[in-house]
Amino acid sequence: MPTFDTYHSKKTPIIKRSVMKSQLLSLLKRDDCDYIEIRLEDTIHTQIKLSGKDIENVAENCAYGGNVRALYKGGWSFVSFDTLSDIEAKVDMAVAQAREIGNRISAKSQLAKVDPIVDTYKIEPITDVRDVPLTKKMDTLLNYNEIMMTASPDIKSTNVFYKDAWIKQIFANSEGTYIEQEKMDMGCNMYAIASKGGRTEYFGTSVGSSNDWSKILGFEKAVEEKAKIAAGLLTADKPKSGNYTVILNPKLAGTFIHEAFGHLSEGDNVYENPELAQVMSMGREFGRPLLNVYDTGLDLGVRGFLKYDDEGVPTEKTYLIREGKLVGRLHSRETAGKMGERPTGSARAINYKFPPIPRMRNTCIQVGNTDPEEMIADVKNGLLCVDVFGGQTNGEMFTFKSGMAWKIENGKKTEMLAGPLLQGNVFSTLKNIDMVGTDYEDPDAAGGCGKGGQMPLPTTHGSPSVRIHDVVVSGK
Amino acid sequence: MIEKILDKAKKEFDSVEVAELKRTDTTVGFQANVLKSMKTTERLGYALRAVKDGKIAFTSSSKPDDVDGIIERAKVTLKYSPTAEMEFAKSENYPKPVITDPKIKQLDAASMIKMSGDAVDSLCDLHKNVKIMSGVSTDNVTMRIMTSNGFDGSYEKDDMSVGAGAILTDGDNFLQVGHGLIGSSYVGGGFNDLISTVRKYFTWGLKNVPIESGKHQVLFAPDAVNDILGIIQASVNGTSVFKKVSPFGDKVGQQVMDSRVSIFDDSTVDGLPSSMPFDDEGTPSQRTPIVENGVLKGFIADRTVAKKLGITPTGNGFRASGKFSSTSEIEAPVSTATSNMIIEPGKKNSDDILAGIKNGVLVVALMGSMMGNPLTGTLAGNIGLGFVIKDGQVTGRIKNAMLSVNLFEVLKDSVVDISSDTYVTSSWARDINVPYMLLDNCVVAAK
Repeated sequence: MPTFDTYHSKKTPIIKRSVMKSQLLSLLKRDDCDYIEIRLEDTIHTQIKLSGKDIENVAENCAYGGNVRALYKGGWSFVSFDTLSDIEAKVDMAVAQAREIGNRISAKSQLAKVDPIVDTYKIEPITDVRDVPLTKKMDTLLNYNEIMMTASPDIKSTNVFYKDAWIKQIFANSEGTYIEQEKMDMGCNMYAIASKGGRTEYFGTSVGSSNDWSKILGFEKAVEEKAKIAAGLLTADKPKSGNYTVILNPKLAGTFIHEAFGHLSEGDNVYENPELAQVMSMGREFGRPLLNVYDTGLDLGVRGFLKYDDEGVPTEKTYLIREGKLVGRLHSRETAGKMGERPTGSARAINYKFPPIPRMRNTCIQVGNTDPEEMIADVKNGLLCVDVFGGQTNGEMFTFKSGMAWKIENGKKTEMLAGPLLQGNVFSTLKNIDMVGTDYEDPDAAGGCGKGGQMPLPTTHGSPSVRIHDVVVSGK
Repeated sequence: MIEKILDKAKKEFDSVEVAELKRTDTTVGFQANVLKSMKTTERLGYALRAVKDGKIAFTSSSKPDDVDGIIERAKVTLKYSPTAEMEFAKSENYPKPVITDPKIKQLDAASMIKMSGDAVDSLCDLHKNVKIMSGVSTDNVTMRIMTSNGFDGSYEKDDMSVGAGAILTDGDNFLQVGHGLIGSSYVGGGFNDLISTVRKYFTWGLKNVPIESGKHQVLFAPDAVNDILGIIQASVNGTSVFKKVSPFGDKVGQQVMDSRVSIFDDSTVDGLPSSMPFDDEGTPSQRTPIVENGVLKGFIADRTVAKKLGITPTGNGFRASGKFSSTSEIEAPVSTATSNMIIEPGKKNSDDILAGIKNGVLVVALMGSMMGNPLTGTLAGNIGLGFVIKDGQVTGRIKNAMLSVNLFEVLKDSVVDISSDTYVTSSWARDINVPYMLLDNCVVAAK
């Protein structure tokens, strides 16, 4: 049986090609199911965690395994495994399970048609994570950690989390697609924790890349500034709970659009729910004409970059909202097939242990034409919310946490405030965006998106600053 | 292979610990009222912790015959690894909670499909446009841990979960409710309760009613009590105490909550989802009092944190803070995390408590509560599923509102009641067995 030839030296090919390709493709030649695919992965991860004066964890882990997914009369099965030596048995098991399901439902298997692809995609990193010795990774992080710890006497601890991965993946399906793909991923969060008189506040910055380790360099000044903000937040008030005009900086606006609209654009929410499909019908107005939103796998270098998704479909730039109106959604082959729409290369799995489902890549509010300074000018009582600690949605309502905020009074930034929790509703909040900035950014971090038990998936949120009216803010 | 890794590693390092985790889980699922999929996962992985020159290295692998790779990676990372503070487990007696169940093992695909389908059949009359989702999962885990100090323990565990949910899209108004059963014992016996809970929430949620901003009396359903424990857990984790960021750090022996509140971390209860003989570093499981009658009793700690704090490890060294997170498998480093968090029941049934509320709110699901800083004691989130209560009756659903509660204050001064009925529930972060809790002075901000 195929041995996945591993060892992450650059000289070794991903696999023993001659053996693997023909064996896998022949395993998939079956007439007892409608569709079948195999995905194999071999990954080396590095994880580093620093906490104050302590190194909490340094590990290099190897994740190695695969899965078989089969479809029969509308019924899916998914079998994943760490042991590849009996892969024939796994294929049999997947087919048997798909038949068990399919025979009970006897529906039509519907997958959007795509042309078979045979390709080997090797990335050309600017700085390869495998070329950077652990010493250098550690020295860089320990230096940032030290800068934060000494930035203010009130900084009592830190939270520095770094991870990188080099992934080799093979995908083959019963339609003749055979793709060998490499992926690189790097992300780092650097947070300072300030503590005084029983109060604790934190603030920091983050970075990520899919092709350049050296993106992590040069943060000496940034981490010092962020640590000082953390210390400053110890005496900051919280905004009063209520409804405000808020301005989101690019980092926060990116998470906002991910939660506010990205998830609802995922085809699996819609394809088996005709009532929702009607609500989400193409052309519906979600925002004012100044609002354009897209999701793309094509932005080389960001963590949301992706050449082929986990169904072997090439990724693309998919517009979701154009001039305020709904124009697209993110599809797997099944959700596209059932809705009679085009697959968008959005079927993603966090690793071989999970099946692909419609997910985001780099979700962006397109750059606008308002100078961010102008957004503040006519605001009498508002908040400028800066950076992000997370977000969550249930489809209709969403919530996201800002890192810190500035009170805006009569067009002026006045007092620094501790970061509030904001909430919105997809059908009203997007329409309340009345300004989109010129200051587009693609911020990346070490985290990622979670859905259906699959977390974290590398995603990016690009956005300029935006201004939104009438947002419910939970403060004090 | 575990012996091979141990033997080889012993030659390279001063002391070592090897874990082997093997699991097979099967899930069947219905989506939008229709049978959809079946999923099987088979995992086999190894983790090594190795001490040399006062440092402790960690690595893992799911690759067969990766013995040399594992040892090589541990050697490479050793120089930068944390200082070894503790010793690996020695041979010890440990409790043996009942965590296997022949009834789970006997569940074949057909009976799982039947149970999942029964949930759909029992719920599809809720509304003409309702979409029912349901699923049944079984999981069989074998864990073995060996150390160079002579510990060699293993256990087998069966888990089962059943979940059901209902979705209604009515124009721009979405209603989504769900409930689940989980345990290391057969949980199918709770099927009728599962169905009636989903029906109850769905029926209540069909009508939206306004709520005024301000302070309210809030009845937290067990799933929302999970969010409360998420905040409390951060302050009773020995890691926070050691870092001097826990507000509870110097309060052992003090009254920190209402005298009716008692909280335990207990991995020794038969059939609960996080019960087991020993934790992921071989420390025997135990029942750890955290708060008893409102008085802070102690903290949870893995071997490393316990050593730093000068206390006995509490059997809370786990390879992740939650088993549903993707890193919760063999590749996660051991850290201090809760097992089954338990809040002791009160005297009155939750239905009677609800019937006694004149003006209040029932909160079932909060969104975003984990994004704040838990060490401040503030629980804040969007009320994903919550209801208005007037004169002992639910009048309808609350939407577009935020809840904010300072738990350190409210759990001390504003506990109104705790229910006599408790529920086992689970989230990505923790497993719990808790009652309903009625708390006063909770701030709601509404649109």
